[in-house]
Amino acid sequence: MTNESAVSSQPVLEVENLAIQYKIGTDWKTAVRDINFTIGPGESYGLVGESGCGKTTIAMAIMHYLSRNGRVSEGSIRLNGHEFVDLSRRQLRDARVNDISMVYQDPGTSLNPSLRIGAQVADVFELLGVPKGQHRDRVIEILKKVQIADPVRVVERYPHQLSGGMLQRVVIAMAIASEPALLVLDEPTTGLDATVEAEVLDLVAGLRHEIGTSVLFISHNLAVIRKMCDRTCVLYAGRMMAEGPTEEIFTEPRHPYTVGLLRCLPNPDAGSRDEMSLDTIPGFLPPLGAEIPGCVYADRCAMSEDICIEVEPGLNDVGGGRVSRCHFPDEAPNLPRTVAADPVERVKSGQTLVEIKGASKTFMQDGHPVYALSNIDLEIKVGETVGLVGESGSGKSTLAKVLLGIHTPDDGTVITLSGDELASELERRGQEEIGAVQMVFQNPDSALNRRHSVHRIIGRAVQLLRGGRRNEREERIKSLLREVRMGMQHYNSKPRQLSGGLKQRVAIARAFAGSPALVVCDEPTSALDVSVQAAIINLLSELQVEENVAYLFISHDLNVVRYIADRVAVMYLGRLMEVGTSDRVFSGPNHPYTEALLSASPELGEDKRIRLEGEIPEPSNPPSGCVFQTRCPRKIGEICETVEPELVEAEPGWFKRCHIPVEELRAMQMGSSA
Amino acid sequence: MTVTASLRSNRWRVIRRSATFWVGGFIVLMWVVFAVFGDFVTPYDPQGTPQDLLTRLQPPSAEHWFGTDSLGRDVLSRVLAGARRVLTVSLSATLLGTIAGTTLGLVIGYFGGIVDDIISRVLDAFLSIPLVITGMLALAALGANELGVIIVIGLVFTPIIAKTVRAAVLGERQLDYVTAAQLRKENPFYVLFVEILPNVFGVVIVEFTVRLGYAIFTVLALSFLGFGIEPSIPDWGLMINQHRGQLTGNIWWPVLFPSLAIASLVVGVNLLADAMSQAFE
Repeated sequence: MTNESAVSSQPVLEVENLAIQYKIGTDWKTAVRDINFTIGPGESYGLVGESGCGKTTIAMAIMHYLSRNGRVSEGSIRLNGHEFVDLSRRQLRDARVNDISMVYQDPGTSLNPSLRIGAQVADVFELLGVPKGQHRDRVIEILKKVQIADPVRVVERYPHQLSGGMLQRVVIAMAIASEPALLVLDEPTTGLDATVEAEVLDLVAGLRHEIGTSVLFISHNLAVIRKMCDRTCVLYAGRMMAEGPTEEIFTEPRHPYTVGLLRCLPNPDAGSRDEMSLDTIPGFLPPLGAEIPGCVYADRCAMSEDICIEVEPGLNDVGGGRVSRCHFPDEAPNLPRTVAADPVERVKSGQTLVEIKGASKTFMQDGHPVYALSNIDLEIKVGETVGLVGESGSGKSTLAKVLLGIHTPDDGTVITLSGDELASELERRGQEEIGAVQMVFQNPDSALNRRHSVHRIIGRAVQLLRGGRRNEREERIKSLLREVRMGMQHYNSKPRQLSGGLKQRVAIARAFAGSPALVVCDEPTSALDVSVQAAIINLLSELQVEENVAYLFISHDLNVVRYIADRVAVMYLGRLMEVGTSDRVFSGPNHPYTEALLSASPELGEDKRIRLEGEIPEPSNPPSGCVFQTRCPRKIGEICETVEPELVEAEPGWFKRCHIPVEELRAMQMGSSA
Repeated sequence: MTVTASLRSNRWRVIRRSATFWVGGFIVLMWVVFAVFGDFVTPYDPQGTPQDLLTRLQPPSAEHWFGTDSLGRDVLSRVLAGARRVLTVSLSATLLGTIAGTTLGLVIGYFGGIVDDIISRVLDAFLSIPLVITGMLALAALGANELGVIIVIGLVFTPIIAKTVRAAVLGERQLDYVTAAQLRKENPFYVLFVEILPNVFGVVIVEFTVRLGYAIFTVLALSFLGFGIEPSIPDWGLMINQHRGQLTGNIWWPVLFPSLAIASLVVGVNLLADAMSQAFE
């Protein structure tokens, strides 16, 4: 981290007493207030917080992009010392061209789908007044700067022909073309694969040093902020809770909210769920514009006292350049836990529950075969959690859907459940078999019918998967709600009346309606805020013990997988590349692909730094030999291009699909991390 | 969270706040009242009496606000009574088209595949034929009574509504609650009508009100052309047709007032349709 850059004289951005209001109905409600921060030249400043904390609102106000029902009601924003709040249209346009640029979350919507990349990037140079004749050269130069390998070809492409990571590079190229004084990045890597995210973050960090621009970096992801920012501000309910140098904010937090957030995250140092359950933050964000006399966080804070509810604390100096909006900042590190740390005891039987043998799935697309899954062998034991990881497009969801019977696998695939073969089509599975294999989806908003009540959603699943008389079914619905720790007051609620965490609980209750033996969890926490995520992970852990259910846990968040999974399976291009116990996989040495995934994780990847180049090859035309050879940083030679390695048990219980012997992998990987 | 939570109440707030809704609603409600209670509010017998022949084609006056027609019948009474026919026929036709079109749209949108391909192409072909001409041809073949008009308009609307509903269903089918239903081996009828239909109901309501406007026009155009109507029943289209020849003799009232009635009803329905689409889309 570079702190020396903050010393120079004039700050690039000064935000003072900023308050922003939104008009809801006829009233103006304050979304954000009393925001004060400055960003020095070349400095990177992070705004972090959960959804609804106001981080994007602040960025939009800085950019003058507030929606029509929003306004800056108070305060000032100065860019290079000039007031930026009340600019004329012309001044604003000039500022946007020359001084300030923004990169948004979804690059797909930032670019015009009907224009070639070259033309869109050239527009920026047009605005900058570069003579037309030089446009092409400048475009190619700037695309090279964002490390696009083949800019001459990329300029001829349309946005839909490029991957998400490539598009985000193009957007970043357009943003830095004017060498702006301030670059605002709003969740620039959310929605990208971890491997791509790592590359984009490397790129931003590199560019920052190269052109010396200041950065305002907005993210909900604490690890990304920690990696990217010199100083950080933690927001909650539109208020600054803590601010200071990033390292100190994260290593010595002095605000109970920061402490709580960090405890919600699964942390490799704190151990897996057999060692410790996650702490959570109970309660909900106050509604927009709520008049709260005391601390906005008081009702969720485990150490709040009378004064917290009555008097709002100021931003107290807590030393080391940090401030904290708390009456008792020194006690924050000793915040009492809201959840007992003792983990749930588990007995592992070691019996096989599900066995997948030779699972393949070929889709036909315009007459061409697309090999989505290729010869997967995987065993899931009673009551265990198997984590399934891999980039998007690696076949994780396809494997899950084959298991669930949604996709019919190719002939030769055999799936057994407790020793009995499971029909490949859903239609041919009996009621019990269907109830035995269920699923929890990623996004509860999509998974729950928004027109149905909790009672109907769970009740229908009970009716079809379990049957029984009406009063028996009612009892079952109530006991399911109790199992997912929901009160009876939600019995008749519609999904829109529930928070994200409660919605996911309803979805979990539905999956458990037929007393399943296996539940496929497809990224069950990735649509949720950090504080809610921890509660859901704890719930899944507890339910697993109570119901003796096995999980196939799909996630891109390796820390979550490490925390909850007993064994981990790594997929690439429809194949299993590595399978082993969680401890074994996360301690290494690994298959080179797993190594790359681990390196890409912002929390885990500090000491292992290998990067993948290029993109996942088309599954319709997989590379010869080892499918990973086109991107493998550890490729040893011709054998990788000609012979596809088998998935072999290289150590007891640890399988890898790689030509490199385990000892050599150890030498390469442990050596490079030293 | 708060955004989705207030979506439904928001929808009604949007509707309640909309001047379009209140103006359109007032106009339509007025005509519905006349259609239902026409017999009690008309000042004279809309069918006329033999004595009326003595007061033919009188201009608007204190006794006959809208004047009298070529058979001496009170134009005001006939305009008010005429609301019943146009509203019953066009509402029935639109209802028929909406029910059939929604069902068809749900089925092809949900099942997709070759069924969807074939039906969608047929629907496209159907859509390319002009409404009034289809109606005339079908009525000429089927015999021209009110039921015929209802069926013909209903059938013509079916593919239009089906296509709109299909598009909405395609969006819903992507959502995981449909997968969740499949994962409990839900029967297709439940998936279509209990899971998906409530979520596309906004589209159906908007489509219904928009189509109702077109239906009114079509019903009146057909009766103007003499299809599907008995001459004795008060009907705006027929009234205009019967008296348009006399316009040249400066006898404007038997044509103007039914025309204004048509215009106000169609405008009212379209205002309602606008308010609905603002709230639901």
